[in-house]
Formats: sequence, structure tokens, C-alpha cells
Amino acid sequence: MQFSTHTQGEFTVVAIGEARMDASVAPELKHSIAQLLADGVTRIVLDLSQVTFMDSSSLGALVSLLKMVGNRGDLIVAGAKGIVADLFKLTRMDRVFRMTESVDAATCAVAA
Amino acid sequence: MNILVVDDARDMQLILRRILTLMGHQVMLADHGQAAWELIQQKHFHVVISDWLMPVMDGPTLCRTIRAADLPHYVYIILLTGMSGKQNLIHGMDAGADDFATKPIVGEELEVRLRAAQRVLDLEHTLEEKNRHLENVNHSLSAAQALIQNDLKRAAVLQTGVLPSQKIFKHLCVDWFFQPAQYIGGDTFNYFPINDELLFFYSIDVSGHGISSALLSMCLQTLLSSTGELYCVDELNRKQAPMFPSRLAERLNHHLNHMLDTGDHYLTLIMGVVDTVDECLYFVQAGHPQPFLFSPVTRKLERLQCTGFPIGLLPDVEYETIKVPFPPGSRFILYSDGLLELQTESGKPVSEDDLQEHLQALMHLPARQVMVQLGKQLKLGNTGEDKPDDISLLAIDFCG
Repeated sequence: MQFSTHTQGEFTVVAIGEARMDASVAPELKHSIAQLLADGVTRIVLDLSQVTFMDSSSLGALVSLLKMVGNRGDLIVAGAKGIVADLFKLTRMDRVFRMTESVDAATCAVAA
Repeated sequence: MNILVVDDARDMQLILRRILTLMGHQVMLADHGQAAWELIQQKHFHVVISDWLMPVMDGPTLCRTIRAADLPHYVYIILLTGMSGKQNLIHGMDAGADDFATKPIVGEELEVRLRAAQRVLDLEHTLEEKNRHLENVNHSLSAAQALIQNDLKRAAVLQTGVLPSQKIFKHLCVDWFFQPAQYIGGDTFNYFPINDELLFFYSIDVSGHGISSALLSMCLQTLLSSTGELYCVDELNRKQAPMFPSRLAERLNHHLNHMLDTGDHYLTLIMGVVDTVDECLYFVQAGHPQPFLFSPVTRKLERLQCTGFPIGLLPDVEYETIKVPFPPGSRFILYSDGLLELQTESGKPVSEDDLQEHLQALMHLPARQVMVQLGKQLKLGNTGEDKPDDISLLAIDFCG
């Protein structure tokens, strides 16, 4: 799975570089972010702006990561659009995740 | 080592045989390349020490003949040469020689060269062993994989065995299309009459693919069957119908979050009841693709804009029952997102709007024909074209 991480203010931004987030990506995604959490990172922004398709197993992986973060930190979903945003709405996960238009909006909104 | 000495000079043959025998090697002799080649085909020689210029077949030709042959072992070739010069060396190496020795032969030099030969042959031998081992492993893996694939294909066929076969009820007609994914997935659905007035139905898609998804979908079939743990037939009457779908969804969600270890799996579903007396339909939406409703009044197919939490993803979430009018002539269409992973002719994925358009054009047809025509338009059911996800589609008609 292609992804890159960088620090922006208090946040670790994880940018997914895959157009398709499906069953072949989900386990690695979960493992990689779980590793960040294990390393002590608590405030994560997940940049989905490059993603054009997400399947149910990737959504499931994100929810289990959200449960791992719990109330000790943040897992903000940024830049979801098109059918990816539709999937969050359809499953009401837009009410469960904090979602922002962009990475900048995520880091500013929380800082403000 | 078994060594073949190839030389047309008898004295040279004898000198070499003496030196090599003293070193502890087994030696055979040949007068020229052709005679050597005949011996090599019959007997395993580790090393061939060959003169360069000989009648019938010269040393470089013998080299090329050996290298071109598919011998079961590697033959190490030392070319003897009285000639010096770079061009000869290149010519000899190009023909496939491993090493060169110059005449007159010095015993110590030959001994060192044969030790080098031994090292190379040992390496070759180890490689051959490893290759053989890998080939064996590869063979067992392919056999195991073939077995699993065959098993999965069978499982995919059996998956359809739990699907309902009755399609005509007192006031309702139901039809469906189901195509399991290449490596089985987690789609399933069912419907059955509670009495002449009520029909219970659901369409389920378990997340992910493969054996665990398929088994979870089978498990749900049992849980939601009329004799299942979660389902209580007494409770489902016309008075209870408006509350029934959301309550069952809540119970199922509780069960999946607390009683059943589903790993990372969860499911989306639409589950509901048709009441043919009140002419309405009650359903709960749990993150499933939005269903379509055809109204006999407007003759339009409408996508029902509803959302809901999937089942088994988060504990203690609430579900609501959605009520829609369902007079005679109505049609309710449910499907799983496998349909939305198909590609249109332009290569783009099928969107909900595309699907709605395709279906709207088929609404004058009976449900069976809708399935057939849509299948043709979306190229479903083509053998040899394995789909990445299960595809299921269910249509419920109020025939009056």
C-alpha cells in the first residue's frame, strides 16, 4: 500500500496514495496506522483526497482504528469525496468520524 | 572425480592419465571430440580435459556440443592449448570452456585447476539440490492451491443452495439474481411469508470476501430463519410490523457485537416486512445500497434516500423503521454493492444513477424478465468472467 506520513502542527498526517482502498489494502492500512498509535502518535489526520474507491473492508479497518484511538486522541478523515464520501454518509460513519474537507481544515479547525 | 581426457596424441593421453590417476581421479581416454561426445552421453564425467586441435571434432566444437546438450549435470571443461593469445582465450570461453591449461602440462598447475573445478561443481550440485527442493515445494503448493480453489468453487455453488426457491405468493411475486464472486463472498438474502398478509425479507452483504465472509453470511441465514434465536414468529403480526425491522436490526447488532466474534467483519443489510393489507412496506436500512421503489401511480422508479449504521460495526446504535406505501403494482428492488463494482462500456464503474436508468427502462416487464434483461445489459452471468464481488439483486412485486 502506498502512503506517506508527515507532521503538520500537532498532527501526523497520513496521506493514502492508492486510488482504490479495497480488501488487498485494508490489512496493511490497519497494521500501519496501529503501528503509529503504538509508537505514541495520538492525533492523526487521514488524507483520503487521492482515494476514488473504498470498499467495506477498508471502512471496517478505519472503524477498528477509531476504536483503538478511543478518547485518547483523534482520527480525522480529510478530503473524502465522490463515492468515498457517499460511503461514509450511507453508513452514517460521517457521524462517527470527524470529517473535514481538507487536511488544512482538519489541523486548523481543531487548533482553533 | 571422473575425468575424460581428449587428445589425439597418445603420449599426451598417457601423461595426463598418469598425473590424474596419481591424484586419485578415475580417468578415461578419447582420441577426438566425436569419440568424447559419445562417451559423455553414456557416462557421467565431472571434468573434461580436452586438446584444442584434433581431427574429426576439435576442442571448441566439443565444448559447444556439451553446452548445447541438456545434460542432467554440469560438465566442467578445461581446454588445453599450446597456443597463447587473447583471441584464442575468447574463442574458447565463447564455446563454453570453464578453464584453460597450457602445454606442456605441469602437475601442480593442473591440481590447482582441478580444485577450482571441484569448487564450481560443488556449487552447481548445491544449486541443483536447492532447485529440486524448490520444484517439489512449488509442486505441492500448486496442488494445495488447486485443491483450495476447487473447494471455493464448490462452496460458491453451494452458497446458492440456501437461497429461496419459491417465487409466487398470494399477493406478491419475488424474483432474484445471484452470482457468487470468484472466491466466494458474503452476500445472501431470503424472504418467507409470515402469513397471507405479511412477507418478511432481507438482503445482506457481509464485508470482505472469502471463506469467513461466506460462513458469516450462512450463520446469519440461520440466525434470521423462522426458527432462529433472534427471530420470534409470535411477535411478527400486523400490529408489530412497524416496529419489527428496527428492533430486529438492534438485536442482530447486539448479537454481532457481543455474542459472536466476527473479527473485522460486519454487514450491511436491508430487512423488512411487506404488509399487503395496509399496502405498505416497512424496512430498516443498515448501510446497504439504497433500494429502489417503483410506484404504479407515477410509473417512476425512485431511489429511497436512506442511510443507517451497518450491523456489527458499532455497539448500541439505533435503527429506525422506514415506512413506504406499497399499493398493488408496486415493486421494491434491493441489491448489493457488487453491482456498483461492475464497469460500464466506457470503463467507468456503474453508478446508482446508471442502475436506476437501466431499471427504469425495464419496469414494464415482469420481475423475471427484469433480471434477465439487466443481466444482459450489465453482462452478468458470462462464464469465464469472474466477478470480484458477489452480486445479488432482489425484486418484490405486489401483483395484487
